[in-house]
Amino acid sequence: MTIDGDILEIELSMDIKDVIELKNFISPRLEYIEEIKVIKDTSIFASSSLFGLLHSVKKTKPSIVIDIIDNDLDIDNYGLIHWVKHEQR
Amino acid sequence: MNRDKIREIFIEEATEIIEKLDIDIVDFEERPEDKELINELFRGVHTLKGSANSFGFNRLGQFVHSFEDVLDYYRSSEDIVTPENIDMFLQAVSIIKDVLSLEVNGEGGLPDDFDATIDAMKEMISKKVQKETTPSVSSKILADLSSEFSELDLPASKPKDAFGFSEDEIISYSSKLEDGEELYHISFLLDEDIYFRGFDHAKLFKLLGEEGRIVESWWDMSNIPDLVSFDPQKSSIGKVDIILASRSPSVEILELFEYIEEHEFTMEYIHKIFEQSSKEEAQILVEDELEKIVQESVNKTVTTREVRSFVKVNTSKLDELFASVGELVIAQNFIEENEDIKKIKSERVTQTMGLLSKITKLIQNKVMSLRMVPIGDTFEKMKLVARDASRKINKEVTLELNGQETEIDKTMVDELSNPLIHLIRNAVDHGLESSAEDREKLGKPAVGRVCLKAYHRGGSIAIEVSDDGRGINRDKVFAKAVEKGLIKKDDELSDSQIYALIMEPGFSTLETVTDLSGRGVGLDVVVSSINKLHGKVEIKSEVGKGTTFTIMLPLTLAIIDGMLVSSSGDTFIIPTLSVVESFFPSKNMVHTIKHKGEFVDLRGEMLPVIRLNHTLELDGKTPNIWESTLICVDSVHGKYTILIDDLIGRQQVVIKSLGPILSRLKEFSGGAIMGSGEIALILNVEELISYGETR
Repeated sequence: MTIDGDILEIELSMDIKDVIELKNFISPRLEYIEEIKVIKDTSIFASSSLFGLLHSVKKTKPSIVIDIIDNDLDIDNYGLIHWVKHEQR
Repeated sequence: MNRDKIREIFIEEATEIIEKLDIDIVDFEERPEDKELINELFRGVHTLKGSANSFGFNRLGQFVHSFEDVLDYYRSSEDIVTPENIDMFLQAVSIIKDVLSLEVNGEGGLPDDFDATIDAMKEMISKKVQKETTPSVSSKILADLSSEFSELDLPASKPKDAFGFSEDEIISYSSKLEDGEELYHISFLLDEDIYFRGFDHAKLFKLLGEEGRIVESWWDMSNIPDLVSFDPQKSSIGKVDIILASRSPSVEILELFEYIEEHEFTMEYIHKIFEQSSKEEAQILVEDELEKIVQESVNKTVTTREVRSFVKVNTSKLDELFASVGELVIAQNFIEENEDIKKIKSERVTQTMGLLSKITKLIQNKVMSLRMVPIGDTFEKMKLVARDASRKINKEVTLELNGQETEIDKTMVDELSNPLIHLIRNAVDHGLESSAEDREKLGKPAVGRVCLKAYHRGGSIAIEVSDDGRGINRDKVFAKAVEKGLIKKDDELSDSQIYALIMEPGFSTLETVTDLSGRGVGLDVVVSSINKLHGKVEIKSEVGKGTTFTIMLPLTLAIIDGMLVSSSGDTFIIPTLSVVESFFPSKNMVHTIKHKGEFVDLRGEMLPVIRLNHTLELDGKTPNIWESTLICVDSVHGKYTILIDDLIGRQQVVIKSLGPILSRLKEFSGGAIMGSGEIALILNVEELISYGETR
């Protein structure tokens, strides 16, 4: 996890402990973060808690750009992930 | 649920399906025009095929597939099934049973006639199809398919499947499948504590990725809270729907979910659909719909979506529950008989005791009802027995069934099959006249009639096997019994005693041994089997009109209604099912016949007297019969009387096994604990008196 100006860079391989840390990191800084970007390996994800956190962040600050949840997410090993936010299916 | 458990369920369900196939086929012979019946048969076979293949039972799958083709032909054509076809169907079911047994036991090889029967079925279909003119068949198939669509209440095109995927979507998924891959729809709705339990959607995705290819997934994130309320350690993710393409059998995929709760996942098989011409498409859609119906039944044990109205319970658990209720009844009797409690003069205690008694009785009745099943299924199986017997000895027979709804203890149902098979075969082979001509000469219908009937009689269940045949020739049976040394020439026997002789081991008046009977074994097996169930067999017969065997059984194996009697200070129980009456004989009723023993003349009937204290070697006292109490009992050997000291009363008792050593004592069929804590032995009236002593 690194922050580059107003862009927070994270990895899909974050486990639940990392997600707890990430939440603690984001919460006081949400006002300044404009984008959350996933870097490195996108073939696998380590915890669904990360997806939960990112959706929670988006819900709290709708203007934030989070590419992996703003669009469908194509994970190499797990096919295409569609996010259902308002009973789309 | 692990693989072994699922396999066990599959075997159980497959066995049920196969048993039903036999019954349906025999019914089909009676109603060959009944399309609903052949559809039923087809569905059974189709289910079996699907399940067999998913468990890797390929030999079973292969055979059942050929059989399914035959049934499919008959359900889609107007061709009527012939008796030869029925023979082939029954042969096919017999092979299915053998193949299933090989598969279940992990044995190699194939049953005899496996290939030959498949070839015969294929040849039959090929000949049938050649005979048909193509246009009429096509139009017929389409008409049938169209009618099936209307029955299935499907829209004419582009139906949606049960979980919301359109036909177009399924076609799209199907077209991307690689060789051998099947499509599955898996849903997770994990509890919020999933992370605490060491699991995660990510782990499940990883495991699924190892079993196949995750094509797409939909994650319901609509209930994720805002950042203030969000707890990373609690999952607020909603349902996750996954499309998986996999070559693994469904059971192996299911094993992946072993560590999550049953309510947290569902898995369903999606039947592939490919772009087809309209006719083929129509066929596939129907198959697809059928597959779904079938899959629903297969999935019923693994999906959590269904509302379950029934629960399968292992009968051993019911036995344990039953035993516990037995103990409860005994404990309740202890309390009722307790002298200290009896001394308490409190209305409240009396009321509570009454309530306890009522509740105990209620629980006892409810638990007993859990074990009760209709006898209909057992009766239906007898159709096949009658058919086989009729074919083997070339006699035309109809089997009539009555009272199939009569409920009987599950254990008794299991034990009843063999005695009923013997009695049905005996009725067809011995009971009915040798030929249709013989029957017609006697003014009877050419086709023999055997009737199987169940009903309640008093507190017991009666099962009758009757025929309209020649009846038992009293004199012939008597002569044969004398010849075999079972009785003496000058013995005076009642009709029922003479009829009972045919139940003796080794007794047969038939001079020619047939495939079915005539070896002197069979009917004695009936008696011993029924004795084990604490029941008895009665025979009534009229020469030229027929014979009726009536099996009398107690309602349950665990609790019997008993007459409590005392002899030499000990308490014994006589099952009331066997008790005719009790009486104090007058002196002029009592007779002693040299070398034959003591008798009592009860309304003109000379009945032997058995002194219970002598028979059981309790003591050597010999009170006058006219100063004692006699219990008249009915046994397979006829009526006789038991001399006792006193009649205590009538009571329902919980039967306890005597254990391996005491169970060798044939005079007793079990034991029971009385309210006082005393143990009483249950008398076996069939064995209490040896046959020779009754005359």
